[in-house]
Amino acid sequence: MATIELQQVEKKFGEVYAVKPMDLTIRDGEFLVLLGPSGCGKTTTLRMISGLEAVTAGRILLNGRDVTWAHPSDRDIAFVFQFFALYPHLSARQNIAFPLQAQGESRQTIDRRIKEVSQLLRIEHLLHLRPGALSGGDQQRVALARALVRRPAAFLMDEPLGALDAEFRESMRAEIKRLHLDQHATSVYVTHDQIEAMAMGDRIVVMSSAVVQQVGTPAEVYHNPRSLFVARFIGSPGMNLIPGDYADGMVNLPGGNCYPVPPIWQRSLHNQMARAGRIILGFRPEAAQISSDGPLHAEVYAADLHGSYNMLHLSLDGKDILHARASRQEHFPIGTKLRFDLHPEWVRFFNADTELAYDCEVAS
Amino acid sequence: MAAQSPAAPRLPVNFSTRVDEVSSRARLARFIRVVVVIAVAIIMLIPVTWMTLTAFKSRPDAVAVPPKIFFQPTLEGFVSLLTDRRQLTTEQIAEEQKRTDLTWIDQLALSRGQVITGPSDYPQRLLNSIIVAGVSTVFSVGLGLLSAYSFSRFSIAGAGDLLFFILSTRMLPPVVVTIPLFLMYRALGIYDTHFGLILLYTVFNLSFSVWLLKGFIDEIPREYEEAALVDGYTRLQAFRKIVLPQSLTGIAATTVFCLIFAWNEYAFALMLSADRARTAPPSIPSVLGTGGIESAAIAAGSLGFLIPVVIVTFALRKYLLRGVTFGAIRQ
Repeated sequence: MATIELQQVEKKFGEVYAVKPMDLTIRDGEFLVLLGPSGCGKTTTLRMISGLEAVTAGRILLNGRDVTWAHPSDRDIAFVFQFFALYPHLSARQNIAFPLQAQGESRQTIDRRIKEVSQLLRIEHLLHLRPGALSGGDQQRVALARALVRRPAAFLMDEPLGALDAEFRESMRAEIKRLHLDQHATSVYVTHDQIEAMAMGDRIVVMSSAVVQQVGTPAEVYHNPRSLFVARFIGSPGMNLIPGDYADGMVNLPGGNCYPVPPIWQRSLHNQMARAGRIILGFRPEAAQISSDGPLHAEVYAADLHGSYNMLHLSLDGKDILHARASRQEHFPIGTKLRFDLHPEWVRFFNADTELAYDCEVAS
Repeated sequence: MAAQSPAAPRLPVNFSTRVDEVSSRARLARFIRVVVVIAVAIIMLIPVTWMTLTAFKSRPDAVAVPPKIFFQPTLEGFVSLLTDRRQLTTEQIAEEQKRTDLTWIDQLALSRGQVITGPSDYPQRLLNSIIVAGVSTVFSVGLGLLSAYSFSRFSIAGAGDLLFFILSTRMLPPVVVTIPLFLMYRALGIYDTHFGLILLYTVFNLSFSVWLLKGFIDEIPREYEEAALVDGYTRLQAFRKIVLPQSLTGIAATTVFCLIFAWNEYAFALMLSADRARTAPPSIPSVLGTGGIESAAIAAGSLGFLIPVVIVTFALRKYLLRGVTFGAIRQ
């Protein structure tokens, strides 16, 4: 239905950057998630796309049309607010009809569209109620219905699940995802919850401190984080990041550990590291493989059973804690000394100064 | 809020709570509350009641010491209020009493030795009050609403200073400026005009209405308007369809306050109006009959003066009592 293009879009509040100049193309029918901690500029970006916030500089194109300075009502974009923003003095039906009335639709069309959309969202029995009488989830359904009913070019959603109870969030998440698959409408979704982002996004834009850190599919940002920030922010727990020293194909780690750089990494690290020096080794908890002849040794600090697996908290030198996944059957009492290896394709290396990831020609 | 999906069956209610047994302490507290409310209501209502009683008293009854609670009601006060009369000599009274075409009103006047010469200007004064108070209230609430909305929603250079300036117009005791205003009004040719009083009351009430309404509009989350904007409405439409209905409570409260001020204003009305535009407050005490204070007439005039405000307040009570927004935005 629509592509959205951001060209060098930036937003300043006074002298402070809310969003530093960013380029982004949102493809037709894509579900794009803007992810980042609060205050990173993700909501501001969304509001600039909607036109509720004016850009400081840059251009926004909607289907190739420059809408940078177009009024929100001229953009044909629907916005779902975190706190739903249902008009409290109107019934659910009137709320849903509201955008259609703006377009001057006939009464029959409005009735038909409300019927369709309320069937889709299973809110037919609630249409006569005012928002105050609805539960959080139903309010969100009505808000979604109000967005869907006018068949906009794109949907913008600002943490639409943030105000819901935890148990409810998951089912609404699936519901929104299903809606997207049915409607196949271009959607931009803002969240600070990385699990939500991973579950819903076709692509994720990770932002922090007004800067886009990485744009990629959930698998890309999970497996190949471009920076330490992304590595830490994505995944729960985040990627293990251990500072070490690189020299001659070996990384010296705390606690007298010495990790030989896997063969696939050797040439690229050699090329990118000017000389021996500081480096940060990163790996996901599931990349650790416990084996008696592994090159790394550590002490078990704690172990939690996560149902299907054990999450081990390991300590290399008594200070920093690493997370490693172990199977449910294996049992490691606290204080156990163990050895482990890292899956060579899942190891990542980061520049300790720039905090950016080193490329691996083979792995990436 | 209950996290219950509509598909889930609701649990049957298989418990009950007895509501007929209330603890004695709660009952005592309730009793004390009721007593206090009744006492306060009585204290509040005594002057009004007394005024109402006085309006129906004859002249001697009205000034009787000790005050009379039970008396023969008469419409003398209302007749004196609504008519102009002339005192008659004894012979004239005797002559008048022979006439047979006298109405009960004429007879009532005659019983006090007076003859009616024409209607009084009280109805005109009351009408002036309605015009001046009504129009100035509409303007001060209307303009106040627009300014309050602007102060609440847009970033205005020096908004704080402007708001303080608006408030500062209330810091001067009004009497201080009556003489300068009188001179200015005469020079401008708006002395003793409806326009002059409306202008003055509007300006006077504006500071109050801007501040009061700003508080109410600040309470309305911006998301509502933003939702309306992306839903395809202009800002003005969003204001009319979303902000206006939700600020009805504030508008009603402000209206009542502005109306009461403009309705009751005495000092400026006394100084800045004489005849054409004179409102009721300065004219009621001037119904001072010939030879003595007409307490009953004054009470009757005050009673008539009270009624329009009571009607407006009563008509708006629904909005005054209702909450601003009931929980459509979770905080």
